[in-house]
Amino acid sequence: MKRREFIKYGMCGLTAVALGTIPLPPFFSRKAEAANLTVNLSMEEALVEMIDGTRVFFWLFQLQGSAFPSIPGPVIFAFTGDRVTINVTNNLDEVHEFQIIAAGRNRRNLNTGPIQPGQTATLSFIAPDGGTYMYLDPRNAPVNRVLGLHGAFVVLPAAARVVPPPLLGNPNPQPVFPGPILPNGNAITPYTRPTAQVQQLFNDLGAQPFFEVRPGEPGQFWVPVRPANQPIPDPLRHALEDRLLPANELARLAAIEPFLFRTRIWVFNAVDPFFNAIAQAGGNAEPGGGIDPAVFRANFLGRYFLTNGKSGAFSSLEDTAPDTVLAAFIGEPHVVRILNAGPPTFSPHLHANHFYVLAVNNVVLESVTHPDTMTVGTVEKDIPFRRLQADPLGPTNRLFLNGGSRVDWLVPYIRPPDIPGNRNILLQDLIPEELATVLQVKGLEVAQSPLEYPMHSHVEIDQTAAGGNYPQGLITHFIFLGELINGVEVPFPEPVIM
Amino acid sequence: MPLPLIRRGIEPPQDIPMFLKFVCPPTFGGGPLDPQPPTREVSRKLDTMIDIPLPPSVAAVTRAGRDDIRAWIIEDPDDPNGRTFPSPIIRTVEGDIVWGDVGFAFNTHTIHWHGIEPTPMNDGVGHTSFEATANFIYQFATNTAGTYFYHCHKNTVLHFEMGLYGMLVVDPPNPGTRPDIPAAPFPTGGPGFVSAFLPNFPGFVPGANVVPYDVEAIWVPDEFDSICHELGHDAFMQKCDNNNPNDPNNFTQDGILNDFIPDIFFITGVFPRVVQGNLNNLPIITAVIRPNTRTDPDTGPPATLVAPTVRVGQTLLVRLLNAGYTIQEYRIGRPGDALDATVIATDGRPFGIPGTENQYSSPFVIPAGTRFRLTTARRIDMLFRPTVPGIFPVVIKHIDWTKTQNAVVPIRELVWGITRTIITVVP
Repeated sequence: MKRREFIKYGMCGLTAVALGTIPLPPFFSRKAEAANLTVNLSMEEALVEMIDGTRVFFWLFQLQGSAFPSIPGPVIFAFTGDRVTINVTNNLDEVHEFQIIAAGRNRRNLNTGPIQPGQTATLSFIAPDGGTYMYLDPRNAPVNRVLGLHGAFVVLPAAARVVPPPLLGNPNPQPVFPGPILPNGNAITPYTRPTAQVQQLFNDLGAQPFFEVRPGEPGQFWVPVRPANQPIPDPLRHALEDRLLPANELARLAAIEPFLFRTRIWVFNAVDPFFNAIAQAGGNAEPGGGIDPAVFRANFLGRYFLTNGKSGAFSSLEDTAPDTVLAAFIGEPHVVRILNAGPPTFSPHLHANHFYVLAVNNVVLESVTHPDTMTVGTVEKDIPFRRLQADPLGPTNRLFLNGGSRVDWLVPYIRPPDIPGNRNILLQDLIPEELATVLQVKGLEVAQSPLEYPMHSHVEIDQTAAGGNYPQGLITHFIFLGELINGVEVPFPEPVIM
Repeated sequence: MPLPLIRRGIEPPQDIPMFLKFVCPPTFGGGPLDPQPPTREVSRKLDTMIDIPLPPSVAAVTRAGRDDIRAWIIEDPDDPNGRTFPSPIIRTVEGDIVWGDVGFAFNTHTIHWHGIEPTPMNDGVGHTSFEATANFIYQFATNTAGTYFYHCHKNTVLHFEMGLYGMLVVDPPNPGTRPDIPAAPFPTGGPGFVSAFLPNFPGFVPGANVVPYDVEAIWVPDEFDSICHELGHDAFMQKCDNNNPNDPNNFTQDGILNDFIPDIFFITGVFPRVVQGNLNNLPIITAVIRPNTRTDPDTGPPATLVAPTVRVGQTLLVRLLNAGYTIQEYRIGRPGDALDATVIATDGRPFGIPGTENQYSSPFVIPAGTRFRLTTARRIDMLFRPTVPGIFPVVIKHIDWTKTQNAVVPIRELVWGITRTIITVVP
């Protein structure tokens, strides 16, 4: 079975597949009790177009029923306590494996063991504590993982099933999420066992003056899953309604959209097409297969840097990356789950808001720092949990300094705090000149509203594509669409374009 | 059967103006927009080219093989000594409204005030606002005391590497508890006050939540790839086809900016000689920077800013920024030394100030000799209270961000260089 050629798919053919015709597994139920969740994945070959048009060969996961494999693998969501069954079929030409890092008891890895070509293996387990997990092919690490066999497995605490009853339909403008939502008075967090500091932070979001939109206008609490009565927020709604993406991406987005209500998942990777080309020619990382994992680690030269499979403009604009771009209103805090599948160590930097580091490699931190830049390392540099516990700095401070391959942030989505002027004044009234500014670029009008900032890795080497073309690398955008006024989302005024 | 093809994005993009803004940033000048009365004004001009002389032992191991290194700097045009690398430190006071009048001698540039969070047009990122062709007055507040920096955000991979950066320190107001400390902003090198929630620390001022320090050191370990310093301003920049911004040909520059091979190692603009190693025999180990290490009088800051001297019983504040493209691993003192570091803040946010958005963290101690790491652009502030005299070594490894040293021992990290300085404690 050699399928080493490609054809260019016309967009017409893709968009003709209507949204909703592709069967997808039930990712979650809105019922309160634990569910049985079955996910059927296969490992496939595909070509992925890089930002400069270069087509690079990958090994990718594909959801059964989906028309295409996906880069990275599809996000799998579960609630703690769900019985999860993942069936993995190896449709590739060599042996592969499937693993979820530290998702087993006592942070042990869950692993299928070797899966021969054409065979299916099953991983069956109870969904662990809430957190951000990575699934991957651990074989010949890091080769199989970096060549595309990785994805995010996100577990929400069981308490997150119980979302507040409908508040919509209330004609009076009022905060949509008026208070802590657990019976014990605590706000929901992404974790089954949050530390006191993480719990306090989430309790304070909708309550403390320093998280207010402006004095007297409270911010919202974090919301793990879109309440059934809430509309889909804009970049996602726009993408789904206007069918901006290829059909398979749209189907996946429709299935996971409730989890992206106040959450983003950023899976980073880097590509050195030299090694992908060896795999395309029939090679692999097995002994004699042409890719020696040790040579790979010593010589990997990243040429493309991906966030959720895309880079540069394509991972930064609302139309092309609605599930990656942060676009919301001041007062709507978001959790960002970052996973790095690539060999480099990145240093993502967020403009306009400092963020909180909640957890590193699913260790919920006891000291919740508030940086603007944080280390996201490679899986190979992760510090084993046992060694962390013996560290003279303690797990929290060691993980803050050295980082890990999975890092959870809380982006408070406060008004950028260094805009000068009276905080009682609506931002739209404080900076009318900037919001009305329209600049000319090559005969087109470019507006400065809404307020747009980057999130990018600061190693800067990773801001390149094909060795240059700054800033077409590991980047996405952080957009303030407007602000909450009396609890209602009010977009910034659009400038008049002549 | 043909392989499935996953496209890089939707074509054509729906929002052409946004795409165009990303690919071909607009230009603008003037400002400030929506002006507020400033309480502090600074001027900067970029970029100015300087040639920094290198010690012969450094020149001997560079790939470019020159006896100096070309750097681009952000100059203070109001200061006759303002053409240094790193660029002159900007100090403001918490609560200031700052106007930064930035001039551009050559081509288009921006300044991003890293960690400061103003509106996009004052944030200095071309593709989310504009690149400046003529003078632009940036306006921002500095509302939280701490350690920041400023840098050009155009073709940043090259422009930051070339040296277009400087420190930005926001000082807390002087609470008046130490007559010997002048009003903020404090003199670089100390003494001064720094935000820290350390109720048991000598001189802690409750309410103000600051502690006094006597000596201030600024460690900005960095490294140059000498080949990059031979390049021009727009090297390997994307093209901009206004008829079709989405044309893949816009992104087909075949460059070398992803292949970073550092061969010059330094701390805060102090270039020590090389004592061991070369590119064929890694790593390059530099001489220890001492208070009397010679620096170029025209372009370099004094070595005392890097190799501080402090008396027993005094407080030393170290502001640390990784300005390189490597993972930096630090070791301060030897295990067992009486030189523990108390980490009090990161990225301009002090740990554990009650009743604020910074109340969820706590200061912590790094015992002497304990290795720790930071990646690019991260900062921490550390306090030391030495109790015994001595000379304490500071060792910084510059580790490749991706590659291992070789395929024989694939677990061994690739250390490109090691820089060293000292903290001198006198009775």
